[in-house]
Amino acid sequence: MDTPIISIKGLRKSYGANQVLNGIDLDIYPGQVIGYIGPNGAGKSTTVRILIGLDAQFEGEVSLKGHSVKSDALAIKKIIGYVPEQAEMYEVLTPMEFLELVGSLHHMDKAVLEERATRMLSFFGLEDHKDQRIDTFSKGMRQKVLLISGLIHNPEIIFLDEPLSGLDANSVIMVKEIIARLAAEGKTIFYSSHMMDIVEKVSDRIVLINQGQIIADGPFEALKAQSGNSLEQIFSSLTSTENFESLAGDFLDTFQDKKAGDE
Amino acid sequence: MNKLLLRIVFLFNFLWERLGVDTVQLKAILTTKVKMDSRRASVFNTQGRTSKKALKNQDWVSIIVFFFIGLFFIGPLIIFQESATGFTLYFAGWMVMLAMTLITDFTEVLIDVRDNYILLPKPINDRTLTISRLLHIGIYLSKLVLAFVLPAAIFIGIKYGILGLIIFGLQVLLGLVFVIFIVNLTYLLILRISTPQKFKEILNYLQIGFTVTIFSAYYLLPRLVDLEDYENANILLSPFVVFSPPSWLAGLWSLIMDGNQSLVVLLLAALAVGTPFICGWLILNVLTKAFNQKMVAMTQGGGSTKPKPEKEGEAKAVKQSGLMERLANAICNNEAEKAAFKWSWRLTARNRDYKLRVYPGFGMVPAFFVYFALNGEGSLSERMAALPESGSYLLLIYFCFLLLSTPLLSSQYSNKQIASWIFHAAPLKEPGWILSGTAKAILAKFFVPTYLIMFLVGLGIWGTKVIDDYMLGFANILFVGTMILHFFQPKKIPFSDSWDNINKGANFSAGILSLMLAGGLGALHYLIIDNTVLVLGAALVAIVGWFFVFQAYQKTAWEKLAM
Repeated sequence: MDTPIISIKGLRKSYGANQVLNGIDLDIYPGQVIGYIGPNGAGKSTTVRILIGLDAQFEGEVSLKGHSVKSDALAIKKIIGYVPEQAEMYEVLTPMEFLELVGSLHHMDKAVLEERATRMLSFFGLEDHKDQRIDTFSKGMRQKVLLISGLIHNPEIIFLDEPLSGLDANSVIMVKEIIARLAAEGKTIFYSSHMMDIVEKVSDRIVLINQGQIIADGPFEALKAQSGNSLEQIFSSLTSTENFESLAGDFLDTFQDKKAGDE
Repeated sequence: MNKLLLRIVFLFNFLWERLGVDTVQLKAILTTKVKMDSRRASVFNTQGRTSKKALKNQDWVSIIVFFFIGLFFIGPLIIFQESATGFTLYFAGWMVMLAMTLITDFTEVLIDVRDNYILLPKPINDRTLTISRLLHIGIYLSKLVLAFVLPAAIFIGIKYGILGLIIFGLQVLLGLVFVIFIVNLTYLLILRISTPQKFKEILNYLQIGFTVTIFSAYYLLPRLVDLEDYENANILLSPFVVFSPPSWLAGLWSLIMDGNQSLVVLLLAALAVGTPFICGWLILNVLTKAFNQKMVAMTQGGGSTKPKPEKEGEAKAVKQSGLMERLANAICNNEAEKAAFKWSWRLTARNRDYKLRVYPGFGMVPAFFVYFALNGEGSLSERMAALPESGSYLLLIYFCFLLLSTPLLSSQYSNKQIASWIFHAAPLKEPGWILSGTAKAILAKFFVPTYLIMFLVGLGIWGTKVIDDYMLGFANILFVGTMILHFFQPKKIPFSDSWDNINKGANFSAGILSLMLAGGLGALHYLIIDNTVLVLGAALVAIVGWFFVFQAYQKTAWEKLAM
């Protein structure tokens, strides 16, 4: 195999006494689609923040395409696309204005930018809305604009943090297809999500983290052989010691008290 | 206007490039930010979101407001014989105005957490980010500054000619640097003494304080100061002048225009020219760095600092909730009303927009009162002495009406209006108890305590003869309050409508109608003020009226709600 495009060695990160990442080692190669999953608070978003150069306060070594995140964040930001979990946008702008800002920050040629933005927006059925303000948009429409803003400059490495939240079924299928095509073109995709069924389908390598450590890493098939049939089952068998059936039973039992009180 | 300013900024691209700025990115950021500013609602223009046309005029509204405030401020320049005194006052007003506007109105722009998600992941270097932020402030300020100083510039141009204008321009520029420095310092100070999470909360109170200050200053200062005595005042005689930046600027004028070469003036002029350079250097090299770090900390989730204030807040909330529980149990008729009471009690304390709308009233009512009570002939002390003999307490009583009507009228609105689905989903037979619970919370929380304080004030100034009048006033205000709720205002679930609608149609006329009714009842009260029996009888009538209307209000059915 060629040299890894993303290399993480001994990554540790803490907020005060709270150890969020506890020794992550990971090599990712060009063209891979990584499904990065884990329970709430496992450190998924923190990893992404560090990888895209937003946070240099960590221990260990992290480099993208040979550039160290600590010393050369600017070079990294030039080659990545990022779709954040919080759908933050300048909502008083129109999608075209917002994409123009993003493109200009990446030094895109104005004519190319305009053409590409228009085409991408109409691809998602937003051509009629391209000059309306984002604050009038539904959640799904915003998510589409956000997605486009992460891809418009044709980045080499794409970080997607819950990119499908709020999208309808057809858009989900479309995005899944786009991810597959991007990977076929040699782009590397780092896909962080809770939605197991989609992660299962789009990623060719799944990295499962829990309490700041990688607890499983490999193609879906390999994990399947190891424990369980669906990613959901694998996930719960690895990250939880609880028996969900009895937990659900306990949950329903809480109604008992009330009934007794009522009668 | 914006385009012109931007073009001027980009004329200096060679300079920015030398500072290490990426001018393509600078242009993209500044153009976008300026565009967003013009689409944003501000303190002076709260209806910005409604239509596209209104948005275009947004800039002009602020500019015109500032022009008139600027006009108002040239008073000192005309009145005072000694130019240093006039200029000190002028620049004091100017600098305070600008600093406050920047802090309150511009903060959400400066501390825009979205920047952390949108701009930080992009390949932008620190210098570009810093310079674009400073230039953004500069563009924003220059519009307001130009509008503000225009009246004074015209005055000075006519009176002193070109040289005067040049000196004035220099003073304004130097003053600007001070203001930006002070604003930067304030931000850092607030961030230092509190956590980023509390920052917005503090700003909210600053905003409220700002509203009250401007309002009271405008109404009260001319009342309290006897202008004739001060016409010949000379501020240069005071030793404190050295510590006041506006006086430094004034000193510059005295030195060049008046040829005053006294030691004080020389010192002031030196300070005026010297300190901006020190401030500018500090801004670029120390403050922005610290500021950027704090900014990043704000969105990092800051795991270490976050849980602490929340726990403190919880402890406080628990303490408060003891009183709230007891009140709810004491004055609510059933569980639904109790639930609404507690819900509204909490929301009114935490909802920023609600506080911004309601809290300033508690400062303005006393200011109103002082204004009207001391309005009249004679010197200030004479007017004060005449107060206990006057009937002004009726004014005080009926001004309190605003402390009930504003919270009531505002209680239908929220930024999270959609959350009210919860009442539509709940198995409520009639929503009336929800409405009445909110009304009771507002009564118990805002109106009754302040009315009691005003009663003590009245008792202190006028003695026991006012007791019956306070009783009638209380009954009347309660009565008009329920009239608002039951008849004047379209009924809605509390906090279920967008703030954009507050000044529309029936919502607006509810405010006017209730003011007229309260004023009318106050006038009737004035007619019978000397007859205690009549006053008490009227109070009884008003209370009975209140009782029946409120009973009907509690039974409001779903069909009666305005959708």
